[in-house]
Amino acid sequence: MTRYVALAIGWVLLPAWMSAQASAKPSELLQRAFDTRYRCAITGVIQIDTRKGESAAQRRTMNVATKAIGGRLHTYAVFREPPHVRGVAFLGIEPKDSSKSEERFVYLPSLRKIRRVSGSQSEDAFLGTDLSYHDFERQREDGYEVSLGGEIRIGDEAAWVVLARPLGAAGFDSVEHAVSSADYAILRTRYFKQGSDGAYKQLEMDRAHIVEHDGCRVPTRIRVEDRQRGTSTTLEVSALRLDAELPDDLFSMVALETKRAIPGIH
Amino acid sequence: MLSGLTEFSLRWPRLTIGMAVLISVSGAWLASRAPSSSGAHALIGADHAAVRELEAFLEEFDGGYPVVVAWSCERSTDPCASALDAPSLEMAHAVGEALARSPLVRRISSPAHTPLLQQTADGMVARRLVSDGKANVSDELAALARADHQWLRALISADARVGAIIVESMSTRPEEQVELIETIEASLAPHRERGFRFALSGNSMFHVASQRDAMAETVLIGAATGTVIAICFFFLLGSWQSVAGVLLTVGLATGCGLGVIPAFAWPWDPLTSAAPTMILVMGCADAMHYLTCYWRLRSAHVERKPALIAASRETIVPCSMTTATSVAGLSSFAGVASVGFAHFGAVTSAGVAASLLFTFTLLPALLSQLPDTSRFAVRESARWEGIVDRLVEFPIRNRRSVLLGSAIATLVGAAGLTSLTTDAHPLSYWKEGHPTRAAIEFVSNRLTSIEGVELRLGLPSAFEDAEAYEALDRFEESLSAIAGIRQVRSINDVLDQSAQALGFEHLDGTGAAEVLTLISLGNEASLTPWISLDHRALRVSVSADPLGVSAREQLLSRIDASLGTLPGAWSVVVTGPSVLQSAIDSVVRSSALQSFSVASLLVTILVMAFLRSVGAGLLAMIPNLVPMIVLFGLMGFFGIALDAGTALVAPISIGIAVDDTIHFLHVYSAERRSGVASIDAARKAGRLVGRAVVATSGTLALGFLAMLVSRFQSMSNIGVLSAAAIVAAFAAELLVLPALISTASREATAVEREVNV
Repeated sequence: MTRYVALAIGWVLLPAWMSAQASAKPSELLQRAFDTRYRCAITGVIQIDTRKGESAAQRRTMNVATKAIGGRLHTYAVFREPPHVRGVAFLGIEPKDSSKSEERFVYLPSLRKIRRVSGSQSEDAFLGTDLSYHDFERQREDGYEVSLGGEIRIGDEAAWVVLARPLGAAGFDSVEHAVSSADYAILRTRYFKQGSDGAYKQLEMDRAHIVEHDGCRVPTRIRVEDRQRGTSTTLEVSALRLDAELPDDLFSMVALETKRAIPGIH
Repeated sequence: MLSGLTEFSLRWPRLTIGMAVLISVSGAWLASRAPSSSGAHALIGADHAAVRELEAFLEEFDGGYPVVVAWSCERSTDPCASALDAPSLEMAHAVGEALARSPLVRRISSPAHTPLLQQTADGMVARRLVSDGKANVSDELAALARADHQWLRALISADARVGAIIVESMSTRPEEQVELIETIEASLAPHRERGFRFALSGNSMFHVASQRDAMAETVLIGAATGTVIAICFFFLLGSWQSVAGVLLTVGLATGCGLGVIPAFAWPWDPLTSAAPTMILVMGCADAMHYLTCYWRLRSAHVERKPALIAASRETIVPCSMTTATSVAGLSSFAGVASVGFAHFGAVTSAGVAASLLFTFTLLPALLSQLPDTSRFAVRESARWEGIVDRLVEFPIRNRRSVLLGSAIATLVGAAGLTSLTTDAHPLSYWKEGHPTRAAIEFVSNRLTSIEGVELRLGLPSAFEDAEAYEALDRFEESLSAIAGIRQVRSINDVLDQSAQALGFEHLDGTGAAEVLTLISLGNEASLTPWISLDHRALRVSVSADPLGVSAREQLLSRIDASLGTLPGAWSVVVTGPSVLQSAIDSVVRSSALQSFSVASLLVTILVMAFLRSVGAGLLAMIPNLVPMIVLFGLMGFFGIALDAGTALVAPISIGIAVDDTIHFLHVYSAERRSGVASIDAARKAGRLVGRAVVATSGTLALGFLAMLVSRFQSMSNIGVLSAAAIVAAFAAELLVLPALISTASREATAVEREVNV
């Protein structure tokens, strides 16, 4: 009996709670969603498969570690696949000034040297996939004019639609995030061009493949569809750890040059 | 049946007029809402292999069929001094940003968008000359831009006074191309107001502009043609009622013909745009014969209504036959490979058939409703008889001279025929100085040409696995050695430049693979145009000087020959704007030949059936071959190439030319059947139909000449050539045919003797 009473009270109170959540500022909603996604240090093996039509396909596999050091997101990756790039190592460091692009360093085995590559824009495709640096880099709500576009259901889950229009130059007119009203996990992201109702690019993060740890929610499977290019990409993360103890010096030039192994990944 | 319709229309004139107006206005209104089409889709169809290959190529490499938006900083009044200064770069950035948001745009390249790879102490940096909408260009970067192989003559001219925004479209589909050009124009508008001067080029611009200009010219040419027809009819018949009646008849018939476009959900294309003028001109021929007969009867004091019915009965058979031959000539386009030709043939056929129907229904109804003031027309009719008599007698009395003269004209025409060329230069569609032509020429001279070949090289394994880098280098060298090729670009240019910036002394296969990965991490956008997603297909882009048809064929065959330098396991697809243009040229040539052959055969069969004699039919076709030979000869002598426009002339002209023969032989046969000697029968035929033949030919020729007002060279050529063919057909009709009859006649000798006495 007590159970039923509790349930009934829950049903009565739930809409009021959701409404209270929705009354939060849209920019705060988006900030919480970004925090949930990018705050934790992670390690794992990322496999990215991109397809165009029936024939053309591309696979990239790499060991990856990310960690926020001094408030800036650092990314370290060593390529495993395809064979001709095995051993190429990558270090990306989020800039202090959010208007600048990420600093990237690459170790080239044939030269035995580290080379800096910079200047690319966040909308540029990452390794020819449908994912852009924008999809990997930590997002900050202050770079957007944010508004709430209502509530929808993604599968069985209620979500807020958060519309964000970039304040600076961008290759898209607006981006729409579907943020779970239960835990702020980003379930879907859609990019739009000006004057077009349909999204030209869509990222789907299936709830079944979102791992939770200490308030962080990281998708281990992302399906991307780029309707403009006619391509689709699947990103899968295996051996994911959200509690890895990562030394700061893993994200250094020395580690890059020696292709240092990521703890817990072989 | 049609003469029954005449009686019906005279009984219910207002109903007839109302129905005709309703049908044709509806047809024209619906046609005006039809979409536009141009280029390869309009001429050879979306299913043509060349179109499909280019579409697949665009899909794979995100480009290859661009619109080039060039701006110039060469005048002191320009708001920029260089394509690399702040006003230029910020303008290019703003235009590019506006266009990048359009769903029609695949990719934008410009001095403001395309990164420059700059060597640094510890690597390379992809520099953009504009960040956050503000230009940030140093002398060092400007020098780097001017030395960049990917930039030179693509994004900036050699002296950097001209810049370009290259807009890669999503597809070659005409409707999207039209919308894209409109989007580009809209994005340029605010900068034009600031004083920037733009020139748009590229193959899609070329085709969209040709369609846009053709549509704009349709109204102008239609008005000019209508005015000429009105003047001719008034001069020849001296009756404003006739002029009003004819203009309404052919005008409404044109509306009916255009109704075919929406009925079959076809689009407008540059060839279909010529249909209204063709219908106006061809449609008035039947009206001329009908009205000439009507006024002849009126001058014989027949009352209006009986004269309208009697004229219908007298002219309906030959007019139906002449319409049948015209439609047969136009129907010859139906079976050809060119979609544009087929649509043009169907629309014009429908319009000409509607003209016949309206001539024997609407025209009598209109004349019955207009005030009956026939004195001037009757007097004019009497004056004509003297002129026609002299015209008819001349070939009978001078048959040898006439035949000799026509033989010489035929021989001279045949000599010109040997010089007939299909070597049409794409820009020759427009007259010299036309803004569209000037813009394309400007971009071609300073930057990139509309001539371009794209090669898709299929590799047996990924670019990084094979010794592809070296093989591609060798292939590029062999292509660069071909005369007429301006520039060859491929993934190797990007790799070489990056390797140089990264400190590689010599790039080998392994090094190329690593540099490729590095670029894809730092500047993936620079790779996308040159290598496929799976790295198993490469793009080689060849830019060439603007070419005519035969020079283009030569270039393509030389490129084909150079493919031998590639490894045997590699596959090759040769595509691009030049290949597409070559396919269009080939289809136009074969369509022209095929349609002319089919038209000649159909018209001959119809004439034989009409005369109920194979021999007489063949004899009747002789004077109609003369104008055709003269037509092609003129084209050869004056260097007018056989292109999509001029290819229309011959099949149409044979259909029109034979009309006079049919009218003449219709009367001649009737006279012969009633026992009149052949020379006298020819005289009678000449007198009865001579005036109509003179009037029709004059009106048609002048109507076609009205197309000279067009700033579209191809349209002007159609007008001049059609007029020349009609004049030649008229001369052959009234001179050669009676002379032939006279020669063939058993009475010829007696006539000669009589003439000598």
